[in-house]
Amino acid sequence: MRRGLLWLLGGGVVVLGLAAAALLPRMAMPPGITIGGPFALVDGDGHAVSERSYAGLWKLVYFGYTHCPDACPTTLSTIGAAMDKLTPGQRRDIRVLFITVDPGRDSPQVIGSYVKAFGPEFIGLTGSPAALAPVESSYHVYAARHALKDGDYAMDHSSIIYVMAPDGHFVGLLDDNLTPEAMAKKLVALGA
Amino acid sequence: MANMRVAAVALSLAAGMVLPAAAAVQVSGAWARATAPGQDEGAVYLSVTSTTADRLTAVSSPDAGMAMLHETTQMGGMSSMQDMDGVALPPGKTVTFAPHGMHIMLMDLKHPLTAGSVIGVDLTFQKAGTVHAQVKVEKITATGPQG
Ligand SMILES: [Cu+2]
Repeated sequence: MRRGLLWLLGGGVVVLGLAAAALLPRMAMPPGITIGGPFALVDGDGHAVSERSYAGLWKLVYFGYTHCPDACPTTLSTIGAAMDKLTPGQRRDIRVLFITVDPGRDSPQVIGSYVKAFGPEFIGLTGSPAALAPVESSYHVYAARHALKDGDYAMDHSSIIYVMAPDGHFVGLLDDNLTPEAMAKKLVALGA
Repeated sequence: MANMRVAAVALSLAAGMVLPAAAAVQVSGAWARATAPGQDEGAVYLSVTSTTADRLTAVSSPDAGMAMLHETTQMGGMSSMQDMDGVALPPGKTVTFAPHGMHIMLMDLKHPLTAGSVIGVDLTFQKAGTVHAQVKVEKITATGPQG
């Protein structure tokens, strides 16, 4: 618990910088910091996918896990409701990539059927810890297991939505506490 | 000595009658999201109002092996779920459990939560005793009690 909190604080420093950047959506990230990059993961249908699988599409990238009872379904629901505010043309070119931080429980089937509930543009991605680790670090994501009283565990994790342009470049962050209306507006402002 | 004990019991009984447990605490708008396939935990959201200062100390549910008081804390873009020992209820103030905040965490669910169904939770208060609340299960994409 104490150790978990310390980890949390350590992770928070990195993400704080990102959160500050979220307030200035069109500002470039500080020099030397890149967000996102190549990946080799498995989608909900069990197919091997990479960043090239979604070339030419806007991507909203969010890290979480299916056993998350509060933060993840709340954020994914908000994204789904934001999608409903967009025109069919805008929606068609957007994919929401939900990348697990809990590969031990999130098999391709589990994460694939989970994301389907939130909308047609949602894609669940999982992989081995070795495949996920570089993805987490390229997005500066922090994730750590945190024991709960009953012997189960929860994952502490970064809860920020990354907006990636069709060419794969990071263009901005969406706060997970935005209303669907505000989220849709910001997406359009970012160019989606 | 024995007389004093009887007097004390009588006093506490009298106090109980002046402030009936059921009337002191109101639980309203309880809802939960439907669970995803394979998910055996859920979160219950609700509002609690107590006319007198009280404290929510424990929760349980006939539909789950275990229930806990949790709070999702957001700090610099980090989301973390923490155990809470209890929740203080200031007199007359409504305390709200809502997404991205406090929730009653249900673990080891005995059955999946399906939209449209109703489950139960029992909230135990320091003064008001145990209050049962019915919980409406909404769609997994719900962001509030109306779906
Ligand atoms: Cu919880």
